[in-house]
Amino acid sequence: MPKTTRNKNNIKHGTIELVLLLLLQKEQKYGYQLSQELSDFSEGKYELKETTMYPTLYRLTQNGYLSFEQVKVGIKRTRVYYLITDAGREYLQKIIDEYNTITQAISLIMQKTGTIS
Amino acid sequence: MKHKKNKALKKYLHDVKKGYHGNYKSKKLFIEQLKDSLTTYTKENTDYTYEDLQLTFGNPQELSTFSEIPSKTATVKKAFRRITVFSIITVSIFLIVHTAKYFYGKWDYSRGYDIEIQGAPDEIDNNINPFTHETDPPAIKTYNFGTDYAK
Repeated sequence: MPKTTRNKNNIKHGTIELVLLLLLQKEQKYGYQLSQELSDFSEGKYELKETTMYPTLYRLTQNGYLSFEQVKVGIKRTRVYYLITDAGREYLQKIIDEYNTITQAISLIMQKTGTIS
Repeated sequence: MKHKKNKALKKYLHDVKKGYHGNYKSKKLFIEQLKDSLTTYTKENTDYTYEDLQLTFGNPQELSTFSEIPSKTATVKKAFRRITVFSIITVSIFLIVHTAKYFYGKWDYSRGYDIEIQGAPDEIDNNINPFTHETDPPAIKTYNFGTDYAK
């Protein structure tokens, strides 16, 4: 029996860091806000569940690309605001360049294989 | 109805906590943020079910399949912590065992010991205690091969 791929949406999984950094490049935001904006900006075509988003945000923070601030918003309620760092901006530029290169390469392959005209 | 919704929320949070296998620090941060988001969502959407929470926030069962690739710093820190803990435990065990041996030796020696004497008592040399450099503690018993065993 062939091994099934564990991760569904492999391409989407590879772009999670890119979209989160894009949303955070101008101002600090919290998790729920990020998932709402993602859905609004992509007109519902790119949805990211919070259970998928938070581990990625944590990893970006551990790598120094994001910083966070915990703010008390109610009784026993803490909101975490994420903010991009300088290292994060450099990393974002790097992955934007990589994304552009890959999408151009894939378009060329699709053209040459007759998948798209 | 309100009780049913609270039950759905509690169950969802419980399932998420069970499914998340990251380290303690990341789990704590994750749950805090999720609670805040859930509060905002449940205020905006008062008529929610467990399935609605799954659809919006994600399936808790999928958390265990989400592979969190640790950063280089986190991996190095984790390895360093393990080495530190192992070293502390090893050194502690070594110190405990040697301290216990030292004090046991002292106590055992201070209890005195049997002296077997051969020949005349006035020919006996007094041993010096190697720890205190004082004369021997009084013997518990003394035996004189010449006289005691002959009895």
